[in-house]
Amino acid sequence: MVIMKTQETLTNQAVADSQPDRRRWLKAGLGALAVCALPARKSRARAGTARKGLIRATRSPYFDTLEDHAIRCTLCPRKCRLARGERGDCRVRENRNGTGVSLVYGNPAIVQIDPVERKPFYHVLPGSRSLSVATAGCNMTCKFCEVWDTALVAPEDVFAYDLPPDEIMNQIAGTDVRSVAYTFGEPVVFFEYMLSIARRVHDAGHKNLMHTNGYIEPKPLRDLLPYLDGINIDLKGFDPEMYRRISGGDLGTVKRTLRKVRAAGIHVEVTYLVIPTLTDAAEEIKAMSRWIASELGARTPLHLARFYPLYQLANLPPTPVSTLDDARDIARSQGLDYVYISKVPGHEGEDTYCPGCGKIIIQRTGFILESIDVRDGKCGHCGHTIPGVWT
Amino acid sequence: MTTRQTHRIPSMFTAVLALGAGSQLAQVVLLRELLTVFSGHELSFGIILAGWMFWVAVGSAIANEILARSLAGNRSRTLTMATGTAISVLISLPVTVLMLRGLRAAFDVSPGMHLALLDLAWSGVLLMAPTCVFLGMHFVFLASARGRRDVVNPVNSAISTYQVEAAGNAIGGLLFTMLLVHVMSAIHLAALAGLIMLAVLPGKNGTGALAAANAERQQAPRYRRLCLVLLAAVLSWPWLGRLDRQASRLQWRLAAPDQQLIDLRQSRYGPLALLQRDGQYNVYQSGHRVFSAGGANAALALEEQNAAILAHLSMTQHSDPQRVLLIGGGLRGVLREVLYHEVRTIDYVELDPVLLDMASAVAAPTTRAALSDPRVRVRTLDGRRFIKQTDTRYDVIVVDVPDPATAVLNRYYTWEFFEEAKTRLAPEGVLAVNLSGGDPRGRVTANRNSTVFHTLRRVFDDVIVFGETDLIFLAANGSNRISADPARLRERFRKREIASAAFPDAYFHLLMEPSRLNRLNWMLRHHGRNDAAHHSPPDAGPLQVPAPSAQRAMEPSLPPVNERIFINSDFRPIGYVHNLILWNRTTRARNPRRLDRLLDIHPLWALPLPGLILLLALVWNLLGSGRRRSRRSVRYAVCTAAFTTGLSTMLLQVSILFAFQGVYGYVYERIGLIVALFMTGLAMGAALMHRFAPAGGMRLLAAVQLAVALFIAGVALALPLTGTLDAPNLVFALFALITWVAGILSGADFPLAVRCLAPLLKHPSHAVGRVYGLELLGACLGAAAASVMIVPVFGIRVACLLAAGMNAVAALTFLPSLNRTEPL
Repeated sequence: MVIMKTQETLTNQAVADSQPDRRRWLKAGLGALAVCALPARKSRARAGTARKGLIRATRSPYFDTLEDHAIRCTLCPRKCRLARGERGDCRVRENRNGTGVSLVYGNPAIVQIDPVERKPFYHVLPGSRSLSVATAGCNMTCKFCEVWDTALVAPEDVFAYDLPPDEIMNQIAGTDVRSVAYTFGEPVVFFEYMLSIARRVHDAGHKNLMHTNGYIEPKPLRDLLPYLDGINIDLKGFDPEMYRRISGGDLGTVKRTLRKVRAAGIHVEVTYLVIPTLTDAAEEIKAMSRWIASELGARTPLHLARFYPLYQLANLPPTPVSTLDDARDIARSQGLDYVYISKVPGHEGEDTYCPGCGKIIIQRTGFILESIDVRDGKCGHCGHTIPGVWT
Repeated sequence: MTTRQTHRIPSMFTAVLALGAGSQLAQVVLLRELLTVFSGHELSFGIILAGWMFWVAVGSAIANEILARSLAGNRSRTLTMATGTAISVLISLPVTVLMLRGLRAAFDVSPGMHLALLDLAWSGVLLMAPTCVFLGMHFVFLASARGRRDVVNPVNSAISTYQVEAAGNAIGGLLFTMLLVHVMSAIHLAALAGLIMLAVLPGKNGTGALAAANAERQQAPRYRRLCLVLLAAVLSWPWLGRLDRQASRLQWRLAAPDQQLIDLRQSRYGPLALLQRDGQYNVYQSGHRVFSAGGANAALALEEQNAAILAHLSMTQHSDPQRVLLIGGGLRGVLREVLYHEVRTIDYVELDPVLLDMASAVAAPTTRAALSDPRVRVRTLDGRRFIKQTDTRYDVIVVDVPDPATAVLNRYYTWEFFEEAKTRLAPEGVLAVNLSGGDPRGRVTANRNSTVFHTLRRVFDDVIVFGETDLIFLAANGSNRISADPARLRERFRKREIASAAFPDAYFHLLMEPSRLNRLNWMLRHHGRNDAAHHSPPDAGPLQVPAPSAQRAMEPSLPPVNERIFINSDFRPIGYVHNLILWNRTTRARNPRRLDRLLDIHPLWALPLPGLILLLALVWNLLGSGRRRSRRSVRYAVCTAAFTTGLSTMLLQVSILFAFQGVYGYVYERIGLIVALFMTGLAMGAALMHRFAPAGGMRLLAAVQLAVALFIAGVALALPLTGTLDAPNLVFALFALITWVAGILSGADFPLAVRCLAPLLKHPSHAVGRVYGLELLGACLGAAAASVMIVPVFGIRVACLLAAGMNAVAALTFLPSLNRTEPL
C-alpha cells in the first residue's frame, strides 16, 4: 500500500502522547475542531469561482484510531493505515495529528448541470437535468480512466469550488434540476460530502444518484442507502485477476456492494466497459450477465460501453461496434431485459425496448432524449412495468 | 609516410574500412529499431547516439587495457582478439535486434500501454551495449595492429586509421540508403555488418606487411576465410529472413496479443503494421496506432463514428462547401462522410503511399468507393508541401493526422502550418484540426490542448473547440464565423439531405451541450496566460460559464499568452514536448513529473559551462610560469577544442535531424544517408588536414574552432529558412551541404588536435586516445542534451547558437597561448 506523505502540518496538536485518556479525547476533539476551522478560514473562496488547491479539511467519522496517533480509514476495502501526516491511496484522506480528515469536503472540482442520461442513468427521470458533483481523488487506479487528470490527482492539483452542501442546494434551488448525481469522479472518496448533500437533497424532495466503482465498505454504504434513489456501478471486468490488474480493485467487493444495494431496494444500473483484449471475452461477458440476472435480477439495466483509447491504454483501438453487438446478444441471451450500448450515439442499442411488447419506449441519441413512451413506470404500448425511477 | 606504409598493407586498410562500414550499418540498424521501440519519438536519436558513443568508448578503454596488460607487442594475438570481437559483433547485433523486438516481455505492461520513457531509455542503451563495446574494442585492436606497422610515427597511423574508418562509415551509410534498406531486413543487415568485418580480417600469421614478403602464402588462408564467410552468409540468408519475420510477429504478439497481424511493410516514415480483430483494422506506424477502420466486412458505419463527427461538424460550418482539402483521415471514413455533402472537388492528401496502398486494400467498400469517386483527387505527398504548391482556395480544410507525438506530426500543429493553411482558405473558409483526448481538466492535457488552441488563435480570429472523445478545433477568419448553435447546423445538415448512418443529426446537440462546450473553451482559452501557467491545472472558470462567443468578446481583457510555452512552431516544437510529457504521464513511469521540468529549462542555464571553461583557461594561465605554464595552457586549450567539437557537432547533428524531420519527415529512411554525408565530410576533413597541413599547429586549430563557430552560427540563421522554401531538391541539397561541411570541419579538427597534443604528453601515442575520448564525451553529452531538451524546448536556432558559442569559447582559450613566446 502506497501511503503519501503530506507536506502540510497543523499548528494545533490534536493528541498528546502522555495525556490520560479523558484529557486526550478532549484535546483530540478540540484539535479536530481546529482541523475543520483553520483551513476553511484560510482557503475560503467565492462560491462561483474555482481556486487552485482549495482544501477544506473536515473531520471524518470513517476512521478508526490506532496506537501512536495512527488511524485506519474505514471507507473502502483498502483500509489505509495512516501514520501522522500521511495520506491515503485515494490522495484525499489524511491523518492530521491523529485525526482522520477528508480534504475534499465542500470543494468539488466538477460541478455541472446536464442531462441525467449522461451520468449515465437510462431508467431515472429520462430527459431530466441533473447537477453533477465530483472532487479530486479515487480509490482505484484504472488504466483506462476517463477523468484521470482530475480523479487520479491530489486536491492540490485541481481547481475546486468552495461549495459546502448548503451552497449546492442553493445551486439547484429554482432550477429545473431534479436530481443530484455524484459522478465524473469517484464519490466513495468524497463520501462525507456526498452524504451531507444527499441528506439535504432527500429532504428537499429531489433524487440522489451515484455513479461509482462500488469499492466501498458495508458500513458507510449502509449509512448512505437511505438517501439514495439510484446507483450505477461500474464493473471493470468480470475476471478477478484482470480486475485487479487493470483497476487495482477487487471484484468480490464490488459484487458485494451490488448485492447490498439491490437488497436495499435501490434502483441499480450496471456499466461494463468493453475493452478490446482485456474485458471483451465472450465467456466473461456471459458470466457477468448470468451473475447480474441471478443476483440482481433480469430487469437490471446493463450499459455496455464502448472503449476509446485513453490514458494508459491509448495504444489500444476503440471497441469494434460488432464486439459490442455480440456482447449485447450474449447479455440478452442470459436473460437480461435491458441491455444498452453506450457511447455509440445513433446505435439502436441506446433505445429502451419493452420486454413485454418489444416496442421502443424510450428513444435516445447519446444523452439526448428523442422520445419517451413510458407512463407511470409502465410501457405506453402494453402496460408492462419498467423498472426505474420515473417520478 | 603513412600513405607509403598503408599501401603496403592493403588487408589492414580493408579491415578498417570494413569496420567503418559495418559499424555504420550497425548504428543505422539500431537507430531504426530503437526509433520504433520509442514509438517514433525523435528524442531517441540523442539517447541512442549518446549510448552508442558511451559504450564504444567503454569498449575502446577495455581493449586498450587488454593491449597494455597482455598483448603488448604481440600482433598475432591482437589480430586474434580482433577476430573474436568481429565474431562477437556478428552474434550480438542480430541478438540485440531480436531482444529489442521482444522488449515488452521484460516489462509488466498491459496490451495497449506504452513503455515509460525512462524504461525505454535505460533498456535501449543497455541492450546496445554488447555490440557497441565489441565495436569499440575491434577499432582499438585494428588500430593497434595497423599502428605497429608504422614504427616511425604511430600518431600518424592512428589518424590515418580514423580517416579510413570514417570513409568506411560513409560507404556503409551510402550503401544502406541507396541499396540495402530496399532489399534487406534488419536481421540481414545486422548479420551483414558482422560478416563484412569478419570476412576481410587479415590472418593472424602476419598478413599485411609480411604479405609483401610472402604474399602467396598469406593470401590463401584469407581467401579461404572470405569464401567460408560468404558460404555461411548464403546458407543462412533465407533463415535470417524467416527469423526477421518471426521476430516482427513476436513484437506484435507482445504489443497486441489478440490482434491478427495481416501485413508488415517498410515505409520511409517508419515500419507499418496492419492488424485485425473482430472485423476492425488497425494501422500502426513505428509501434504507434495511426487509426482504426471498419474494414471490408464492417456493416456498421458507426465503427468510424469519430471520422463522421469530424467530417460533418466541419462541413456544416460552411454554408456551401464546394472545394475541400482533406489531409489524412481518408482511410478511416472522413473522405466518405465529406462526400455526403454536395461538393465539387476534394483533394485528399495522404502523406505515405505505402500506408495508402496497405490500408485501402482492406478498407470498407464505401471508403474504397469514395477513393474512386470522380470528385476526389488522391495525392500522395506531404500535406505541408501540397499546401505550399496548390493555388486552389478551399472552403473547408480538414486536418486529420495523429497527435503531435513526433516532430514529423508536430508540423501539422504549428503556427507556420496554420499560416500556410490560412492562405489557402476561401474568404469564408474553415480549418478543422483533430486531436485525441477528452476533457482537459488536468495540467498536462491542458498544456498540450491549450497550445494547439493558442497557436490556432494566433493565426485565426475565431477558434472554437468541440468534441468528447476527440477534440475538434474549428478556426476561421473574421469574428463569430464558427457556429456553436446546434439548431442552425442541424438545419443545414438536414437541408443537404445527408443520410449518414454514422451521424444522426441530433449529434449536433451532443457536441454543443452547453455545460461541456462552454467550459472546455473557457479552460483552453484562459490557460497558458502567465509565466507559471504550465505548472498549474486550467482554471475551471465560474460555475456558470459564458458561451464561446461571449468568451471571445472578453478575450482582449485577458493577459497575453505565454508564447514560449504555448505557441507551437516548426523550429521550436513545443507542442511535441507537451505531447511527450502527456505520453510519459500515461505510461507506467514511476516519476512521471520528472519530464515536466523540461519546460522550466532556460537557455541561459547553459552559460555556466562556457563560463567555467573560460575561467579554467584563465586559472591555468595565471598559475605557475614559464614552459610548464605554457604547456599546461595549450594542453587545456586543445582538450577543450576536442570536447567542444564533439559537443557542438552533436548539437548540430541533432538539430539537422529534427529540422529534416520538420521539413521532410522521413529521417527513418534517410538516416543512413545523413550520417554517411557527415562521415564523408569527416574523412575528407581529416584527409585535407593530413595533406595540406601535415604539421598542424595551434593557430590552425584555433582557426578551425572559429570556423566551426561561424559555420554553425550561419546554420542557425539558415535552417529555419528552409521551411519557407518550396523546392524540395534545393532544401535537401542545403541539408546535405550543411551536414557535409559540418563533417569536414569536425574531421579537420581531430588530426590537428592530436598533433598539437602529442608533443605535450609524456607518451605522444596517447594523444589519439585522449582527443578521441574527449570528442566522444562531448558528443555523448551533446547528443543527449540536444535531443531530450535543447532542440525541442529551445528550438533549433538556439541549439545551433549554443553550439556556435561553445566553439567560439574553445577558440578563445587559445588566445593566451597564441601570444606567448615561451617554448613548449
